[in-house]
Amino acid sequence: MIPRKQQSTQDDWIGALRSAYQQPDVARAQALVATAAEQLAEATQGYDVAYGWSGGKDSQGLRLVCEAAGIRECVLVISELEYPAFLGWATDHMPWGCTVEARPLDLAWLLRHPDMLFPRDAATASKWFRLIQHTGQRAYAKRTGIDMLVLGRRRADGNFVGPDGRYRDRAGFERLSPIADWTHEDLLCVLGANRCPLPPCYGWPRGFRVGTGAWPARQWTASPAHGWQEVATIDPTIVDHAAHIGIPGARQAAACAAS
Amino acid sequence: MCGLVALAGAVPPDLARAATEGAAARGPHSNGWATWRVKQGWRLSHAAGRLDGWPAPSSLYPVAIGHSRLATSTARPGDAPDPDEGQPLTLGGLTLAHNGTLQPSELATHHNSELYRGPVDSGRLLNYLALGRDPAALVGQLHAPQALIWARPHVGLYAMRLTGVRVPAHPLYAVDADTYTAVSSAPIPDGHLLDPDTPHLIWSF
Repeated sequence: MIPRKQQSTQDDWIGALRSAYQQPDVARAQALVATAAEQLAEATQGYDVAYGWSGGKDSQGLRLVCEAAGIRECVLVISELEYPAFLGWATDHMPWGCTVEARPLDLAWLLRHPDMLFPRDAATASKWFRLIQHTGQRAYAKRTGIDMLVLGRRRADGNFVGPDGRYRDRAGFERLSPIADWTHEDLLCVLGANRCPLPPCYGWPRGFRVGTGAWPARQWTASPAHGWQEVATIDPTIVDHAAHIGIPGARQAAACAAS
Repeated sequence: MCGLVALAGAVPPDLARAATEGAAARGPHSNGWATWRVKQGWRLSHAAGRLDGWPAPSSLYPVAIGHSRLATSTARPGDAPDPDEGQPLTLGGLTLAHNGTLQPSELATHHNSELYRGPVDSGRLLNYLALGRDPAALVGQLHAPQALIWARPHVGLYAMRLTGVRVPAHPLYAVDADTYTAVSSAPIPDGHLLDPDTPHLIWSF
């Protein structure tokens, strides 16, 4: 059994993932999706609804549930600080009903907020989430008029989902998590049985623990130097340009990567 | 994923709005229009942000092609993408709007040709088409799914969806009428999804 995301290792995930794709349990996957889709259709009756799609493993599972429930519209929220390889993958695989919201967080912003680099506490990590995801979701809701957003949050990932998998924020906007009770193994079963493609981030260092998102928001690094080292391994051009802009620590990381 | 739109002939305003706004949703970084004028050829405009508004085709502008870009690679990763890197692209009489990614090895011989030398991978497709190569020969040749709209005066306005390896082609919907046509990456009223892997002549001009 794979531990909670924060305690799990890359090896925990890779072994289970391989097994889910090589020995798919189609019947179990169909039952999981059908049950969640039925509950979702019932819970969203009377709402204008869309779902959040990050490209990550949970949102790929959620996508199957939403499509089975007849929900096609979705939103991908990004910043200017995404990995180019992820954006390329997202372009190739994003749902047809996807709207892309880009938040104006770029290197110039990061230069003014060096405390946000590679968050090592929950408060900073949640600030990233608020600045990108929540702000982008609200902008999308305002533009499209939806009154509920369906999310791929799961308790096994340590996500807040609210009682019964739904909650309303202070502005009255409702969020629903129809796969809240799926275990990691349930999710992998659904992904494997449907041969769902996954973004390249899961093959990167600590990929399953870190997941999708902006590169400076990488969590649980041992030190800023560790964060830079991982980013340089993934895409050295990111570090080179950050060094050119003067982001603290980038110049040393670029020099290390070059030596 | 970028958003593509093409308008030709006397497109009703509601249809032009639906086609443009649907395409705009897909590309937040920059946008551009290419409009073709009799005797003057193509005129290009690029700006930051997603598509907003459209040049209504008329006797002056019989064809307009728009593009709303999600930038997957830029010259300076981490900075807001430069609108001048955006699309549509034009070369000689040919104009292209492209949604998709090309691997470095794909159409590589068209990369450093004497034609378009810009920074975006779509330039290789532009070179390919501008050299008069057969678009149908691209079927089954590219790894990622694609959608493209291109036009050349006296040849026509074309659209094509290309299936990738185990990934369906990106969407393009079209409305056919006697006096106008519209194509968009998003569903449009009375529109139909174009069949994949075949070039479609959408409008002659």
